[in-house]
Amino acid sequence: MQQGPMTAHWLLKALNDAGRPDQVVARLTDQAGFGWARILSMGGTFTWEGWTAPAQGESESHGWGAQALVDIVESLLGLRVTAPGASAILIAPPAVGLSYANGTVHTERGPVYIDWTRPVAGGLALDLTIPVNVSATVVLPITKPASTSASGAGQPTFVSEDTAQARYTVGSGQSSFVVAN
Amino acid sequence: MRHLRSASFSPLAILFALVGCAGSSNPPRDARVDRSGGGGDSGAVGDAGAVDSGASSQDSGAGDMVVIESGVPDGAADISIPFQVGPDAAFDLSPSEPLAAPDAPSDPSPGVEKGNADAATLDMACAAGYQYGGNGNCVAIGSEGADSGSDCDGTGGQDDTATGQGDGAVDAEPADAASPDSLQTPDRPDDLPANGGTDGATGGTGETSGGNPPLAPTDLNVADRAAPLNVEGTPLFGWVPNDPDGNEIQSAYEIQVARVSDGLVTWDSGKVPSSAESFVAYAGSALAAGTSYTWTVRTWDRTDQVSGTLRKLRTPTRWDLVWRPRRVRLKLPLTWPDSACNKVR
Repeated sequence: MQQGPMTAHWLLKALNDAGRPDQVVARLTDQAGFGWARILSMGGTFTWEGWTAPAQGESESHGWGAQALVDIVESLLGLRVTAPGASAILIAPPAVGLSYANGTVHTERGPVYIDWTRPVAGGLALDLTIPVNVSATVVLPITKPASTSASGAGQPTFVSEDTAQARYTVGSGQSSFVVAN
Repeated sequence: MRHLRSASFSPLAILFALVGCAGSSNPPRDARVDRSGGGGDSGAVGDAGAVDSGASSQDSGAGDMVVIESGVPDGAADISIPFQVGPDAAFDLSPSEPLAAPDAPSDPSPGVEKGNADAATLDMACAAGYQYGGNGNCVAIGSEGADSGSDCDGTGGQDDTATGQGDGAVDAEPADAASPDSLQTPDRPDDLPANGGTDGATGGTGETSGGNPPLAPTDLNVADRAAPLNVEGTPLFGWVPNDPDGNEIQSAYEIQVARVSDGLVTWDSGKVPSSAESFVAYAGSALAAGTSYTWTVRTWDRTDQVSGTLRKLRTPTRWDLVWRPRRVRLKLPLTWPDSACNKVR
């Protein structure tokens, strides 16, 4: 990776925007080339100022080198805040790449919990817990029409779909979504 | 991802914890970001995260201290802390018609009998059909969660009644609803007039077609600060609405601000149809410098049912006595099984 750690977010965002979240993962986990995995393989314990910080005499404890966290939350876990105060959020698990991700994102209106799994056989399973007073749009990656279903306390409502995505809205509480393989 | 096993909290570790194992059909589960502890525990940014120093106020000698307290639940943070405003702070808003102080404390120094240092406790006024269940939650009467006032329930998992906000709190005192010292904040929703509101669901049993009434709001804060030492400018109130039902919203709120010394209500917002739950500006009569205030809020849900409010029972009326060095408490934003229950005194 030729991008330095402090601006690597833009590369990762571009990869995701181009439909390559798998390449986001590749950049995050590449131990051979410049990147965070290489920092770990070299014994680093924190994000560095540059990919060759020890040799350059740069800081090896550089918070600005951690901006890829944004991409992990937005692109890989799949949560974006889309309205002020997190009154609206977008949840979109990546279509390719990781086989699962889960985590809690703490928004202004409370914690959002996301847990998605991509079975080996294909498809996707997504569980969400959304705070009161938050509306979420859920975008599911699909490969064939009418292959999604949803249920739960948030009363998920199907909105639309095209050849690649199905779209739902869902409210607070715990809800589940399934994309059939 | 063996590095994950080292208990590092560096961004690097977090970063890789989330990534998991790409491309593996049988990913190592240990690389996952664990949800143990349920919502509100694992990352803690949205958690109240309050560090309750107990240092509610310190008499700086300056005459420009305005103190505002939040009625926060046991589980979140048990005290609120004064905030300071400049002498020219914009509190000279058009005075509103102050409501009569409901049950203003008649005894100016009731804290003596309990010892001032321990005087601050909290209670929660719950909606009809609900009772206080500890950890800042109202639970349906008769439900199994009703007695779960345990300090450490939240550290192991998300219990049924948890709001997801107050879990992992340290030293949740049992509610003391029967305390004769219980002070000014009335037993809403019955006592508080809902100005301009229909308030038709106040006596809701939870069996209405609209589901359950909301639980009392939690995570009360002033400009995003759970326990501000001081606040400059107009106080900006925030909270988190709670509801046992799914697909719920906040359709309205009502804020009440009262002076601690005598319970005088300086602002009652009335029922405001709004989904806003943060940075709601004080708009009552002028606040005086060097004076303690307390505030509370209730919310309405999608079907116009109203919540209870948190109620703060506090006996000292002199804010310069609130500083309590021997009751310093910490609320840890992350959950450590061994330390989360420690009481730091």
